[in-house]
Amino acid sequence: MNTLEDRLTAALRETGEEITRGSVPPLVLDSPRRRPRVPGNASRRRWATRLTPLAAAAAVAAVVAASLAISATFRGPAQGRGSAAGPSRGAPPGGPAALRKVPPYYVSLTHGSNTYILGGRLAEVRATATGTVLATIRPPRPFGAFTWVSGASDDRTFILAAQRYWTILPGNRGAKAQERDDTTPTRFFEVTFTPSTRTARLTELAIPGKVNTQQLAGVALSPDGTKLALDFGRSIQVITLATGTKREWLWPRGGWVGNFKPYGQVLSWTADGRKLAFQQWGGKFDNTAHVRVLDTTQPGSSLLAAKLVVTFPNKLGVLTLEPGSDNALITPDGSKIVVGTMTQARKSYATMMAITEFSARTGNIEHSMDQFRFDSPACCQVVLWSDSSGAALIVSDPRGKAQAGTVGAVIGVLTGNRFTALPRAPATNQIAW
Amino acid sequence: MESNPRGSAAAFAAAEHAGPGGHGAVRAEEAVTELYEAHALGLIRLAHIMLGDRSSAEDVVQEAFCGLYRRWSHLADPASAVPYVRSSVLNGCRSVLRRSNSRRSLAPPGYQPPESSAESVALSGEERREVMRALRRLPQRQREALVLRFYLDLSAEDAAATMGISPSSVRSAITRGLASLGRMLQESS
Repeated sequence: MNTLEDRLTAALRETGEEITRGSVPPLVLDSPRRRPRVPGNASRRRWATRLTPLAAAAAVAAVVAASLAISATFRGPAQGRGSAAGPSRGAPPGGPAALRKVPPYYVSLTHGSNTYILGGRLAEVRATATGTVLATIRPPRPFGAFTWVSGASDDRTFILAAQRYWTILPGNRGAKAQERDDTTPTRFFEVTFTPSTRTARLTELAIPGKVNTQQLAGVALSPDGTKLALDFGRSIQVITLATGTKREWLWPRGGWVGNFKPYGQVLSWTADGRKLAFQQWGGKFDNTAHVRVLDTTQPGSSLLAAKLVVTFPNKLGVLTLEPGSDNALITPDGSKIVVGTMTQARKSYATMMAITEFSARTGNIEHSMDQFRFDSPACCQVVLWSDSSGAALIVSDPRGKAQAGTVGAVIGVLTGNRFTALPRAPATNQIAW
Repeated sequence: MESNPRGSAAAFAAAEHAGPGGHGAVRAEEAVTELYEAHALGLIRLAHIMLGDRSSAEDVVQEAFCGLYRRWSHLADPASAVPYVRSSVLNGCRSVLRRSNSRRSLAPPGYQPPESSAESVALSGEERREVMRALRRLPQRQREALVLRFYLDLSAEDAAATMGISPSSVRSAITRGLASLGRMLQESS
């Protein structure tokens, strides 16, 4: 290489290195429901050019109006640096009293910075009020990772799903690791936590059949800890743990049951262990979302028998559920469906996110809380736990910062539209109370 | 936790392994995010070299990945994702430069937009600034060919695919670009 090429290469390299790895901003993807740009003819483009300043002014006015409306909805002063151009900060902060309204211990799966890796290398039992790690659980050999967690209502019993290989590590192991994962069944363990000794005992459960790791899309332990519901996308199975008996309901139409793995639970039980709420999505080109409630005591084997409570159309400008990322839970008393919802404006990318409570009987909206507005599609607000009636919730919300397809939001208790962050809570949605 | 360079092929393999009913949008999001994690740094650097402006470079790369996300289901070959995004970034850079050129035409005579941030100008050596200044005076095709060849170390075939021209045109642009660059640097020294 001659001197000129050396000089050019060095100059290019030095200029490129002005951008450091740590300074790369997160990716903010469009919503899949964002309307595609339709190429217009020249005159339309000219008109668009002329109308742009007017449209911009109208957009600013609309955003200001929306911000004022949001501010008026909440009591107390606006929080943080919420502005017409920036994200609002959602519910005002609450106090430590809120932490007494939720169970004292939780189990979280600990992973690293990559939020798309399912589960974690270990599970931690933590104190809700302080975030202190009380016990650490490692998957017994030959298992390498925990992938799902769910809790019973006694606050001592949890279920962990374990698998042998770490899920999807592109670049490190590539397709072979995935293939191994596809063929390595998931196994389940019961965790019994003893607060006095800060110990967690792990017992493997006898689950009939082979649970395909890639197909497993949700796990929910019944409140009394006797039944385990498993979501396989096109079916739901309920296993009675004492006997190993299995009952299965199939989804006979297009679409699937469940959610994308990191984004919170899609299955939830009522306190009596009779009804199971789940999300169901439309087919490939119809991402309409439905929340249904299945009475597991009734005969039948079709999920079509489950009561349809709420339908979220895949449309701009209306309250909906972001396909694959938001989630819904039924309150233990069976009265409400609590959903992480979003509304994306028809003619801009402005997105309003909220936690919305629907009547499980009528499907009507009862409350809307913890609202955030972003100028672009944002993700995600996840419902992680509910008390009996939905008066106290544990949610994961963006706290004023748009999430680019990640789950790195803040976890906290939401009581009457007041948000109390959980101290030292890990940034994960694989967490259970 | 294991390190995670997150390669593109596996990311798309993950996308292709959609579950029953297809978690299409989410899988696309996953795949594109993984690609972004693996390639954003290099592409932002590329755009930064082409534009001399960091925030514009970030915008261009962001837009390129959003474009990939919107069209990911139409991508016939997963392996073409990175060349596709690279081409999008180059196209985005062209658009930004076109816009800035038209803005510049309204500016007072002699006005030149800043090539880099004040901080980077202070830190960078005179030699480098001189080379970059000369590079930015080259015609677009020659500039792109030189950057793809000497920064990304692409072959003429790969650069041609990225630029949407033939390999012989790339070789010709590189030869002419180097000659012009040499002349400009000689004049300025």
